[in-house]
Amino acid sequence: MTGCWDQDLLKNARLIYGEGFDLAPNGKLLSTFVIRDVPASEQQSPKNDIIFTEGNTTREARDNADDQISRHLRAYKNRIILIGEEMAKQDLYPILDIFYRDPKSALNARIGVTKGKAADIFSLKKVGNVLIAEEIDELIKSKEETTTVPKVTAEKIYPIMMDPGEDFVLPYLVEKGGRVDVSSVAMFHNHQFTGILRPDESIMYLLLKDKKGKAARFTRKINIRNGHQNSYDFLTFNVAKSEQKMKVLIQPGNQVTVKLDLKWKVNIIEYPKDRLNEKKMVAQLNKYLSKEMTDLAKDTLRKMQKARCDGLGIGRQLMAFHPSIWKTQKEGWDSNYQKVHFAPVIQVEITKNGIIN
Amino acid sequence: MIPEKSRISQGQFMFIVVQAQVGVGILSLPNKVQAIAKGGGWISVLIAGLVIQVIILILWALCKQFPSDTIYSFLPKITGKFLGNLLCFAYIGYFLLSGGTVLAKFADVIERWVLQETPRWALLILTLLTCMYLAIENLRVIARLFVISSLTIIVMVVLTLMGYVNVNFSYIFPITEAGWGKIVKGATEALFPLVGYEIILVIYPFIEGKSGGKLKAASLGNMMITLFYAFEVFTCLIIFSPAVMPQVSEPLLYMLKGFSFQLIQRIDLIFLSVWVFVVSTAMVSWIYMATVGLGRFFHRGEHKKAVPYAMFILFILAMMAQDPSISDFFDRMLRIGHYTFVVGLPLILLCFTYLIRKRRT
Amino acid sequence: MDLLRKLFSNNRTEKKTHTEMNVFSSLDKNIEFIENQLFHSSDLKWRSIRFNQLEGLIVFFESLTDQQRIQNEIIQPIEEKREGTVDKVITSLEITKKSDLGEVPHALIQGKCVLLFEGIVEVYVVDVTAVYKRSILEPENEGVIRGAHDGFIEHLLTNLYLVRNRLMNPNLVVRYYQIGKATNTKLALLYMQDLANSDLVKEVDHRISSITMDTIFSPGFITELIEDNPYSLFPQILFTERPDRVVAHLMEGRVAILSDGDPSALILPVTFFSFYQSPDDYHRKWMVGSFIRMLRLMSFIIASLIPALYIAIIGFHPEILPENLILSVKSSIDRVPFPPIVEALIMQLTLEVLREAGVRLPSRVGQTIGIVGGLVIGESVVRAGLISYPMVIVVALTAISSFVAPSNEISLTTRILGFPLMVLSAMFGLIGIMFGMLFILIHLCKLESFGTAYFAPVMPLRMKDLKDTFIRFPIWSLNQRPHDPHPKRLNQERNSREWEQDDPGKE
Repeated sequence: MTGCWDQDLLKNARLIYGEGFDLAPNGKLLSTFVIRDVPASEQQSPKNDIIFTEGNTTREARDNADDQISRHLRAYKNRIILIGEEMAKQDLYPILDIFYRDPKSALNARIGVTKGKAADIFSLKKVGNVLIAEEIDELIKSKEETTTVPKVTAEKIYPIMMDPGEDFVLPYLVEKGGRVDVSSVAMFHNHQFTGILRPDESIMYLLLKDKKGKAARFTRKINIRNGHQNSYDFLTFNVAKSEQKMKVLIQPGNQVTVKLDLKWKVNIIEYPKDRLNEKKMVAQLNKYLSKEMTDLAKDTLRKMQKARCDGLGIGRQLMAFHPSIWKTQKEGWDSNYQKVHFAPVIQVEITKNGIIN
Repeated sequence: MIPEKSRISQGQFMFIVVQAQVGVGILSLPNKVQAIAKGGGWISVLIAGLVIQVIILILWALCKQFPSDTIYSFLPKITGKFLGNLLCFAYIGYFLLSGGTVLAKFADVIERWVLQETPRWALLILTLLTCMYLAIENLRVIARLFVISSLTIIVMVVLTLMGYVNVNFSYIFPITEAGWGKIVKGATEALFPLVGYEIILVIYPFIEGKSGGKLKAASLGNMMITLFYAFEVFTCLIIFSPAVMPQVSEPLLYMLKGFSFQLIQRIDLIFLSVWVFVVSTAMVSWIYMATVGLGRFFHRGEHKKAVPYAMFILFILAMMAQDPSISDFFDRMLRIGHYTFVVGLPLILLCFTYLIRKRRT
Repeated sequence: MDLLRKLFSNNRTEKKTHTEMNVFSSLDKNIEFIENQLFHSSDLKWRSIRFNQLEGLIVFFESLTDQQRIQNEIIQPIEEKREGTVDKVITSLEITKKSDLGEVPHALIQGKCVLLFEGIVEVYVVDVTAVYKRSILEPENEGVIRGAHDGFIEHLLTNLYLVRNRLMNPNLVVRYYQIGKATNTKLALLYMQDLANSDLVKEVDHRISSITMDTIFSPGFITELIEDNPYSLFPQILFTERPDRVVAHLMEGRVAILSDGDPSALILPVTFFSFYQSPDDYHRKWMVGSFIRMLRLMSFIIASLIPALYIAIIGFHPEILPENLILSVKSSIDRVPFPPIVEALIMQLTLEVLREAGVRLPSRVGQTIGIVGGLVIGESVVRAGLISYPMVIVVALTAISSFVAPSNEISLTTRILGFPLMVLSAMFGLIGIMFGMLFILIHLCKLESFGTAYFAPVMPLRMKDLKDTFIRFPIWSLNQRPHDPHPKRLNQERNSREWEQDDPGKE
């Protein structure tokens, strides 16, 4: 039957499940495509097909891949976009432009930065028993819930990408012995990759931004003792509730100060030393943890400032509430951001401790 | 003169106004108004709503003088036969041009978001045939459908609410960043997606009841739509940062595109499907306005017969508007036309009628 | 234009069917005339009698009359009482005197018998029609789980009995009509005189009387001749074989037409939603009834839309499906050689063929074919790679949903509506479906059945009537009759649960 100009038959499509972008040696774009193939019968498991192509732009690379693939290559079910470190250090936006322009593209795909080359991670093909693209997608999804990585999809970072007053962070993937590890975030400034945060710093950053997932766990050392480790020295707690208050103040001399007050209600998950029924113990722990966490926050913010990553959107706050200051600062916001003074204060309160004391 | 079966109630009239106003402009309104008024865009919409309320008052006052005439019949009464008929034709032309641009914009959005390859004439024929099927009926049947499709507005509101998971209120601050002058200028921009209320000129005699109730119905309809539009603009403003807005011509659709449920993704397609209803009703109202006039001149009062001709003209207009320069030209003509025919002329006519009345008594 | 229409109208070709003639005084002449008029039909019989010392004849059709009745009511009294006036001796209920011989064949054809006497220029016409009726059983196509299990039969008087028995109200009026010049089918029009709109009754009466067809076999003919829009796919007159449904509609101010020789009753004017109401709803609790009714209305949407949606999604917008679903769907449709529209059309047509065959299959064979049909069509076709699994599921869902409607006419309509939607969807995808739906909605808006809007109470919107449309509010809260047939009296009763008010309150 004719008359179907826009027909895009599903059976003529080969679905891309993951795309990776790397910097090729000659300055071009090296694209990796993970194509999910359906099995011939229901008993067989689905298979992956990996293609590497080069091109000047995303679309050109995709067309080049289409030259090697039977039927039509379709990217509307893309689940994960991985960008290699080197590529990310250059500008991110030109790679992503096609995602934003094509009405059929999958804007709910997750994005991540990889250590080394994205092609290497995709070349793993399979992690354990799960196919690579699915594994990464599910991995990031589960990490979002433990507040290790932010909930970003291509669509969510679009407004932030264009906004000079805020920067985004992306999950950072590392390949470790045949498996993929997602535990830290990559910091960006103006679409460029500028630094990494350690796992606990990533969690802290997200908590500072008031974007807690379902769980947020920290494991800290309680006693500073010389010599070797003793498992009795550690404490693991989960932040159950976090109240965040951020205030941007302008102090004399156009000094921008950001006061961050966080109040956490935590549950103790692991504490071999017990004795949590003693009020004195609990109060002591509260004080200790508050100081620890405040220090961690200060470290995190310092690291972010060094990477010029305005993850908390200070610029936007200035734009909105102190437009006159913003006008003077926005020209050299890169360096002006580094002059901002952060004053985080975290108050930890232990509320629950499991079923034993 | 007005057949019984064409009479409509005031409630139905309110829904007619609602559906005539909501049309193709809602998708691009946030973008346009933000370009001028930045964070205060939603205030511009509210101001536009107020202005329209005033215009509705003028139109109502004019129609009240001639309670059983449509504009085509009372225009010659005021200005004399020759000038009156000429002006009637001008009105018909304005209505047809409006309908044509609505059709062209609709085809444009569909072509960009859903059906890239389908030739425009195929889409136009599909739309026009459906609209024709409704436009040949008398007003009561049209009103019935309009009442039902007002439910689609609720669906659109619900879909918009889904965007609230990802809002950032600081995007609209400072609200008066653009300055009040720009906000008012934005109101003039926001006026155009809200047109449609001039249908009161044509269907005033068909409505049952006293004139006060008719004004109430029209005002209520206008208020509903103004609030709806302001809500949409507000939502878009807090979801998209000011730097991104100029890039995105249809922010509502863009926002919905990123969502996914368990069962379905691409929610923007759902929104577009619902939106088809809304645009069709807006077009039917323009066609109706034009064909009542055409019917009066050429077909002895039966607007039915004039509908195929109107369809043909709209088809030509929409095909012509594929060229961006022509569509810009149409836009400008429309603006001029709106200010003259809907604001200026009724005002002048109103003054005339008062003078004539004074002279008589 | 009008002149031409008058020239070709049916009335011109009408010939007088009988000529006026006086009764002959000679018996032989009368008999000869009658036999000639009836073309010497072999089942025309006569028996001679003697009464008042006169020779007489009883003429009757042996195939139409009840011989027992003739014996008991006519022959026996006459033999006993050899003398007297005929009217007083004969014990039949209906006996008339006629002097026009031309009417006699007409009367004989209706099952009456005629008494002729030598020398008397009048004939007596006595009604002795035979009645053979089948037993009153529940109609097969309109079964309910709980409720009355009787249904109309082919005999008009019994049907009228079933209605009057439930509605013992002097306001219930019955009017007889005879239509069809050759078949002379008897029709009865029923309405509640104090409820039904008099304009409506006048209009129905006018339309029925204007029927000038030769043969009227079934109510289907009558429907086509009197309904407003015969070109529409949607039925505008409700058929039912259940007396309780007829009574319910009569009490809402509607009008019913019963026909002799057919158990279907026609109810008009009806709205779209009447086709989705079943007496079952009212026998259950109102929440349960509402749920079931909403299911039925959903089934209309499912049955007409699902094939078109399938085509649109698979063919135009596969990105709508979520990741897990798209893989399983894709694995199934990858092997199908046809585009989805061809697949869908093949399956829908096969379904219709199966359904038609199923109606005519003898019951013994029917079961086997059902299983075989399911296995063959379902499994093997998919195994062979001709159709995909999702398509089979779609078609099955469509079929089952369309049969949920309590009325056979609307279930056919629902399935047929799916075809143009499928074509539109194959050309324009989701947008095509939207325009198709809009078109159907406009059509429903326009459709009027005897002055009532077809899609009331949704269009025009009446909140009070919505209480019995999508869901069923409790009986005691339905205080007003539905507006759509424009009944004379709107208010039913409020507060039917008066015992609750009167309860003095417990200590």
